[in-house]
Amino acid sequence: MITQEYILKEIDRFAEAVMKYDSEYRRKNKLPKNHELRPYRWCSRDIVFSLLVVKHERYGNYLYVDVCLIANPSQYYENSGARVAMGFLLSEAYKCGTTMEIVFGKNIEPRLENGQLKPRVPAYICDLAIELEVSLKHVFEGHISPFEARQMYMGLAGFSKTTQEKIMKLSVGGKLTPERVCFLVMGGLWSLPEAEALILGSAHPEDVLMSASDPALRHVYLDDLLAARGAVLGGVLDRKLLKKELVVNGQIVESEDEENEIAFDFDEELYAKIYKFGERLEVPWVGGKKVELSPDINLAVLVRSRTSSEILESADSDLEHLGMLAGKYKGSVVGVLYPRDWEEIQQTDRGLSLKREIEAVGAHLMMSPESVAGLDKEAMRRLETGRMVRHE
Amino acid sequence: MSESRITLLALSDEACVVDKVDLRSLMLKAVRVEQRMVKGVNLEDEQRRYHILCDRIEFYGHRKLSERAGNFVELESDYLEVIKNLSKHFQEEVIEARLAADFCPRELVEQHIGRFESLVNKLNLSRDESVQKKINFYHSALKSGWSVIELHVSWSQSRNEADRSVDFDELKRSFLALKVADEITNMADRSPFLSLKDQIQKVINQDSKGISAAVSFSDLRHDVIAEVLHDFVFSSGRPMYLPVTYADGSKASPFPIYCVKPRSVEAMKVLRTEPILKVGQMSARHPEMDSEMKVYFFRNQEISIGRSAAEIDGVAYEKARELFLKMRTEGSFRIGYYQTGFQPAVVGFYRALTEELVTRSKMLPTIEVTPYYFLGGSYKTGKIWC
Repeated sequence: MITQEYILKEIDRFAEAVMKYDSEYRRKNKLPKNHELRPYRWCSRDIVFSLLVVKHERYGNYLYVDVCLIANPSQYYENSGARVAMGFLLSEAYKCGTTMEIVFGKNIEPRLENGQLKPRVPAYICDLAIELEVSLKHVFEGHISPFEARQMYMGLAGFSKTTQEKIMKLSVGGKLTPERVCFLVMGGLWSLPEAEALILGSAHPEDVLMSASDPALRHVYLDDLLAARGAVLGGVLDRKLLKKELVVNGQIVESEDEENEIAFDFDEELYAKIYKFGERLEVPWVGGKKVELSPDINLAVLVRSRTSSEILESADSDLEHLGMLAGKYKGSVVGVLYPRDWEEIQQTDRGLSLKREIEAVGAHLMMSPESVAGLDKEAMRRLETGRMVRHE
Repeated sequence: MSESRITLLALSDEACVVDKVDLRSLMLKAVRVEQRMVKGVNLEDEQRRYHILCDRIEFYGHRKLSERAGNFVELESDYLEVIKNLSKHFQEEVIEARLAADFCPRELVEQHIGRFESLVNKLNLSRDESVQKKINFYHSALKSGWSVIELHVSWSQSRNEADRSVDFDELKRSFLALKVADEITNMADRSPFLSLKDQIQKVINQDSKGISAAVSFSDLRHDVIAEVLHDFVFSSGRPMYLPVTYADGSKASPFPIYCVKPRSVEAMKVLRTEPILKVGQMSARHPEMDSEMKVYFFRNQEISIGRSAAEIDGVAYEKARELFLKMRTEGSFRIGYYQTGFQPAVVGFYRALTEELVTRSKMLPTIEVTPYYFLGGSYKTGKIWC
């Protein structure tokens, strides 16, 4: 049972850890090592979700949690505090190179047993485990084993069932570990929809996610780069659609928590993104036209991050796919998304006729403000960053 | 699922000129960058240059293909698999013969296809349809004196759709049956030495059960690493390789354990009449040691070039191996090894030393390494490696 006294005591311990961190690191402009205690406060605006103090226990090679206070704010969805805390703890355990075992310290929700204070896995985390259908076997020892951590990480990352299936297949085939995929998403290298596009839409997602290709082997590297480029372009559209611009006193402001309500889906057969909306929106990048979307009207977009010469060369194939997409998602607004490289050919005869052919299918030509050069730069950065991330 | 298809495009010298850009000149420049990349100097800059050049070659290649200029042929989607296979089995040959490059200036066509044919024969892939198409296409380009570009046409629909009829529950069962540790750590308060020993023992147990596990040496005290490794190297047991990892996630070469028999005092008698040579572990880490040391084993500049800890470990290991090999011809050595820290270099050094001791185990003792650790204001002697 968590008492007010316990919470106040733990807040004091957290404050102590913050003071120690300030005096030993922040004021000295130093960064702590993984094996030193580090306090983290997880908030959104002024709402605190979790207070954590953690370190990598280097000799036992597990993540040690010294303070773990979790809130479950009623304004947010169920177990949001535990989600935030566990998401961080699992990612930190992975980042520090641990076995993925998480150990809660002796002061965490302690109980008296045989005259001794013993910790436990915090109750909110147990609730989350129940929600994720993971059975925790060492709750009253205060441990989460690597096996349990793996399942919780998969559950928390939020992959669709189809994507989970593919990740499981790749893991069973020994091609990559689920922890790495989850870390790449929860660590922010790939957004969830981008990762799903990669996993479902490319022939060898394991090579991209493992950053396995050597840039000197151009064929192999280019194959990964093209897959990554496609995911990045899809991500650019995701963010554009998600971005909510609030008008306050006639000025546009952005807010970290305010995003448009969108559900993402991915058509792996056609490499297309399918968006379902919870509110009214407009299709972006359609050359000044006003194309409205609403909860009744989905958006299906064929994502093709091609250079201008590739657009010309693959025009027939793209038109065929666009026709298939329009047939498959009747009643939806359908579009094909090209990078800004489209500008290079839009006034040519072939460019003009291609635009007419796209419109004849009942689709919209969408031109992203990003060019292939910019997309490639970002894709290469992500592949390079992935190379430095733990591989197991 | 979509995938890339490869289309081979052969162009004459005249057709290689597009908008005042000569594709052949770009290709020759890119070949020179490839040669520089092999040396590994300023690798990231060279890779960037290579990408820019390849990107331009591919861009104009696609334009030529859309104009239906030159000869072209579409390969089957398994062609990339052939290239990956070749790279996996004959990495050095593939780089040397540029088989994973996506362009080939006419000067190199003959050499390229010759090496390609020879390697695919070795892998029994010569009957593959894509391989056949490529060989015929290159021979025809060779005859005409044309250059070849191998273009990726992306987002082609896959012709080999994977079998989707997967039983999710069955798959989940196989996934959950994957070998992963489900034990928890004993939380008894122990010294760093015992904790590391426990960690190593746990990894040995998991490894024997086929569970993927590795010992992480990051952030550990370097004296603890050396002393505990000594115990595992010189104890009796079934010789094995201990998987090694670092906190940045990089995986180093495994460490040989249970592989060296300790020498008797009698056997060491002659060697121990020789003076001890004071050797610092690495230069430019503790300059105050400079006046005390005869020599440093590693030059800091040579070791600190790896980007990941495993790379540093690998560099230190190679350097140490090289030095031990050289020392074999120079007589016997008693080394007082003054450790300066830096875990990957420590592990790399002791891996090379262990292998050296294994190699010399049947000879008279000619090398002895005594580690010294600076603890509590003075040097403490560690266990002797000989």
